[in-house]
Amino acid sequence: MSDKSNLLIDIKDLRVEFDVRAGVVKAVDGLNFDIRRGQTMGVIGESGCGKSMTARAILQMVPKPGKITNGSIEYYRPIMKDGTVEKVDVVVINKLDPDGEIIRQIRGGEIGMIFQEPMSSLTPVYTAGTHIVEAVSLHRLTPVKKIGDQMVENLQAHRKLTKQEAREMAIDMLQKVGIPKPAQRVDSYPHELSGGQRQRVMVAVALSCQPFMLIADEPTTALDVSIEAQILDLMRGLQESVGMAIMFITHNLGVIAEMAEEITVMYMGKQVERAKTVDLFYAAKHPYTQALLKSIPKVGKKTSERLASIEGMVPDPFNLPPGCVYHPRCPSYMPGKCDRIAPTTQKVGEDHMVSCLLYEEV
Amino acid sequence: MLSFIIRRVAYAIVMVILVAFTTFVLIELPPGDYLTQKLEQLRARGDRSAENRIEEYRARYGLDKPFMWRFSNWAVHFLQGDFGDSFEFERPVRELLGERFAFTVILALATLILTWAIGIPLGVYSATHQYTVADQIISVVSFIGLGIPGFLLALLVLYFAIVTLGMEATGLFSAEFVNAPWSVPRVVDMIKHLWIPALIAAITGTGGLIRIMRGNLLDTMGQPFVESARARGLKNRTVTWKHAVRIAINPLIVILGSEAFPSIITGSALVSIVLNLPTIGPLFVDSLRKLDMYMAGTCIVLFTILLLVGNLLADLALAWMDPRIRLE
Amino acid sequence: MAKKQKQSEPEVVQKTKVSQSYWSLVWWKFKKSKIAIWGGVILIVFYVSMVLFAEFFASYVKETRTTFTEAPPQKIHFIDQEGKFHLRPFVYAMDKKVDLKIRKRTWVENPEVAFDLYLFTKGDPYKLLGFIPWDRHLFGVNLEKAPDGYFFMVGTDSQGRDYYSLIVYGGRLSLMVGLMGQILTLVLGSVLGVASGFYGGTVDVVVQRMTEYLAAFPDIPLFMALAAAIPKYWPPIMVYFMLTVILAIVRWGGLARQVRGMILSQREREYVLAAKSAGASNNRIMFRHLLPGTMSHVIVIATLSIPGMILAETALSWLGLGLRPPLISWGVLLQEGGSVYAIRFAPWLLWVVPPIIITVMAFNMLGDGLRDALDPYGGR
Repeated sequence: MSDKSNLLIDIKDLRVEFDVRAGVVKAVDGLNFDIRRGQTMGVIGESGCGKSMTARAILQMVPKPGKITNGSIEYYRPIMKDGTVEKVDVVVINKLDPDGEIIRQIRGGEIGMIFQEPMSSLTPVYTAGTHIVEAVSLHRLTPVKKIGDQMVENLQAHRKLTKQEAREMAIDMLQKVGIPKPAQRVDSYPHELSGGQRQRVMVAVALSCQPFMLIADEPTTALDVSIEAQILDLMRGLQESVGMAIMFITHNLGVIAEMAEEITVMYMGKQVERAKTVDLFYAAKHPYTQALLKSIPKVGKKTSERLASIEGMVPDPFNLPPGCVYHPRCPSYMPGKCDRIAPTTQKVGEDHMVSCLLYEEV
Repeated sequence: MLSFIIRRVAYAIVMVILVAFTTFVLIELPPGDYLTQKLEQLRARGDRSAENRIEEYRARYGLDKPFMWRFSNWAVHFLQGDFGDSFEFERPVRELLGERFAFTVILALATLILTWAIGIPLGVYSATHQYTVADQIISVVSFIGLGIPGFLLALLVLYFAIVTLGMEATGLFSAEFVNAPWSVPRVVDMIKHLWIPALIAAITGTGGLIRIMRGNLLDTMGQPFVESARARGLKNRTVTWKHAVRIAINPLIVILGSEAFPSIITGSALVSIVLNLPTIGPLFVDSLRKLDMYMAGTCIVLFTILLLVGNLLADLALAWMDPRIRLE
Repeated sequence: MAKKQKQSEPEVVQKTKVSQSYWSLVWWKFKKSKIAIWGGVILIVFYVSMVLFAEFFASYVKETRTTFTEAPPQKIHFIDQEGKFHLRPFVYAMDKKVDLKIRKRTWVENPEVAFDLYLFTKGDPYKLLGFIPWDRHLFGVNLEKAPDGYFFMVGTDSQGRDYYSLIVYGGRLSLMVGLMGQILTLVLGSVLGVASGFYGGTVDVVVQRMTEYLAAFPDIPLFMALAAAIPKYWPPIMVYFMLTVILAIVRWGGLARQVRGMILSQREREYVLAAKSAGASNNRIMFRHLLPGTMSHVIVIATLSIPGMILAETALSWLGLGLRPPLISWGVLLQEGGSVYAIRFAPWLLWVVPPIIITVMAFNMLGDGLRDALDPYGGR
């Protein structure tokens, strides 16, 4: 049941375009999904399908010359009091000034983001501790202590952190993310840490500000499989304890199966399918999704068949095929239809949406 | 870290000795020496008495002794702070240099501060406001500054000042203040004269600096950690200065130490000659022309020491600023 | 990759096949930079006019001296004394006059005598490129029609020589010194750099030490010292030659170090290994495989270093440590022109400065454009 009362992010018909000399590239073309508090939404697709751009759009960080040209990103901003949600403001993110005060409060403080390459995502000349201290000094106030006197609590909640408090918070966070000897590691520089540790630090930085949602843009792609497993465990554990939503972006089906409750599949900037994880894996409706699933090599299966791959190539963004963008590669291609009419989003089951003419009356 | 410094210093000392030796060899190369030149000059003027004294001079300056003796003699004295005597002025080199030392340093420091105070902010602005009108203007101006050499610019500025503005533009002081004791009017007069070298330094120095800063910063801003910093909600200014510029400026520090610092002292020699400023530069060039051995030799050695010190400081500064380097 | 396109019409838009080879990409990218093209054009014009055909572009043959010492540029007129308009420009003769106020000899126009100016005119004879006898000049007074006529477009110097012609002839030496010095540096630096990077071991150590030793000297003082070491009695041509050599000696170290660095990073690449296993000799690997890869960077570095050499020669000659009269270079011209005396009394002598500045900027523009173009795969 889509529980709208817990809505955090609502993306409606999002379009992000890049106006370059050779033409206009539609990095994101008609995206629709929502994320609820505490939920993990997976976004999957090949490189260049627009998933990273979506993440940046949510933080109003689309790089020039890109622009959000259509649609809206609504952020149902919880206003906290005494550790519970007092009320919810609706903030239209794409209308915010990208350098303004509000979006800067949201970035990091309410919606955090971790990136693909932990080595280059941390500033090389600042220690792990400095990164965390910088973030918490910006976004955190003194933690509300459970003292009897309400007045004292309120006063304390409005005070900014001292350097000492911030540092302690940093060490605490490092420990929470599983870094050994956090009191020493807090003064380590990024190049002194291993890849897995750096990503943990990134998680620590993001989580230290207690955001309502974490956007993870391919966080484990650059890591070993074993480290990857650890980081995923870490994220899941922290999410449970804090009740944080996660938007998990990846191209790895196996990873997303572990992490997400609901998955959105993207192709060439368009949303082709969205379903609960189980439904997606066992009852994928869109031919692209089906092809993706088929291309996962299965361990233990002895076969003389070649590894299934998707025929054709990703089209030139300046020369998109007419009608359904996927049709040149689609095994269920219907001539006369798929090459002329662009599919719209159809509901094919409970919380299951597809954009394919196979499920549309035309 | 300490062993690193010691090694570098030892290496620098070896280099200085080699350089000093080479310099002396070079000074010896042209046939004749200072005295034969002087002799020709005096003869041309019809002064015959000097001929008799030549031998006396030779002995006094040790010019009749073998090369190695003269070099080691000078070297030993150099270490004690005695740089020999200038033939031209018949005074100790140390005195002559000392007189000019203060101004040379003042000019160099002023140039340094001016170029960096102007160049860095303009370079950063140019990079963060890419393709705007301001950026184009800054780029054009910096390109021009980069292209025009200091001494030619000095000529042009001088022309402008003398002909168009009708000023007395050369030298550091007007005639009446040259040998006067220090006073407020003297300082004012000096500042009035300083604007030309300062202007020249500003144009030529900042040109290159702006372009390099702009280029470095543009490269740096495309790196993931900048986006990451912005995603944490930091202000634009913080992202630019505390994170991006902090990294982008490292190569400039190296340049500062290894090139800018020594070249400010030595390169301004040409400008000083044009403008007739009392710095070490003109003294040095003159000594080369006149084969004034000890003066020329001392100057080159001092310049070299400056260069090596500058390099060392640059490396140290870089190590301090960039923890990645410290591992070596 | 599209095999069977099912039944729909293959919607393949055939773009005109553009060559994607490295050099065509480079050229295409280079063309996009107007600045670089301008730089290149200016340089070609300068080199052709001053180095190759100086005699034609100058108004007077090099050694021509007149009695019109320190004369200001003659004004070009189209309208004469009576107000009549002439299609052909002309100049007036000059008469000496002593200005008692500043106690100097000055020159005033004599409107009685006029000389017409012609393009492509007959002037003093010379040998083009050293062996083709000719007597046409780009512009000037027609010596057949007015054998006593003269035209000093930029005035004269203290020896009565036409300054414009001096600038043109000066350009020949200045431009060539820069170019030849850089070529020498290139050869010396690349060979030693490649050898040093490729062989490693003793060769590398020796070359490294040499470059470090050279780098310890601050280069302007080093130039000066080396130049001062040239004996004064050597013939000017030898001085010129030595100066070029000196420029190369001081500068090769920097280039060698860069080349060495590039070689080091390329040495372990697969294509070198492939060449080795195919039996290529060391020399062949070095010069046929490694060096061409570094060539593009080297060319950029070289182009951007030429202005430094030209300026070095200019500065040295100006200070009296480089070329000396009777050789003429821009630096030599500055000996007279770059003084406070000149600024006050003969400011036209400063006209030697703009060509220098233009040359330096043209090289910078060209070099910048080349650098952007030679990295056609990168770019913003």
